[in-house]
Amino acid sequence: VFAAGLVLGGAVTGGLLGLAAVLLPFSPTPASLALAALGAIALAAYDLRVRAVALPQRRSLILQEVFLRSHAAGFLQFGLEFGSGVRTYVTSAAPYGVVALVLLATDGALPGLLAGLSFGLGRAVAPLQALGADEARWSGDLTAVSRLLERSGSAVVAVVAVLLFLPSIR
Amino acid sequence: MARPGLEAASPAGSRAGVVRGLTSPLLPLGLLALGAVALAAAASSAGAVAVAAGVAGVALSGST
Repeated sequence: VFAAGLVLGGAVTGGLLGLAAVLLPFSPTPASLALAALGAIALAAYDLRVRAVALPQRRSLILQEVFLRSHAAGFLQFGLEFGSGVRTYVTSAAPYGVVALVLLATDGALPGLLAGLSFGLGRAVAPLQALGADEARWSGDLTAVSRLLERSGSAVVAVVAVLLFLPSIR
Repeated sequence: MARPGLEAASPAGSRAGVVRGLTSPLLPLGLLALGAVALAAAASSAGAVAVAAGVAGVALSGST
């Protein structure tokens, strides 16, 4: 239920981003691809440099009361708010780089929607791993790699942005 | 006292080491990263951005 909420939440935000990409008065150009690549590189550099990411976001935790009404509905709401980014802490610059890519490097609404679905699925990875793992070991593993994970994500997004830009100047 | 995740990396804990590999989100992140980079190299912008979004999701999957 939680993973379904994550995917749905990601789809909502991704769909809105796709809509914004449609409404922008230009299709991807070498200039927009360059801007996306520069933005993603700057974000990755920032993520690598700082101890904790402090980019614009709505820093908010889910209210405990949602789990009192119904366990399933609570986890669905948790997933929706978590996946959509409405109520969460964003600890990596990677999602900001993805937003730049959707708006500046893709055309049409579908890429944004797919990106949102994919984001929700990706965000479900660690919670799903917890289902089959010893809780203390899972928690320890996650703590040990969390900052590396967050920084790696930003670096990958930057590499993708550069690779998408390069063919446009050949 | 070492944290559980670090204990799993000890030479004596080979089975625990396997478990650690499966519980660390680094493995799915790596696989997705390879996919995203491959798609971007093939100039498939929609596919590369979608998989990169998955990478961003995994990067945040341990935080609330």
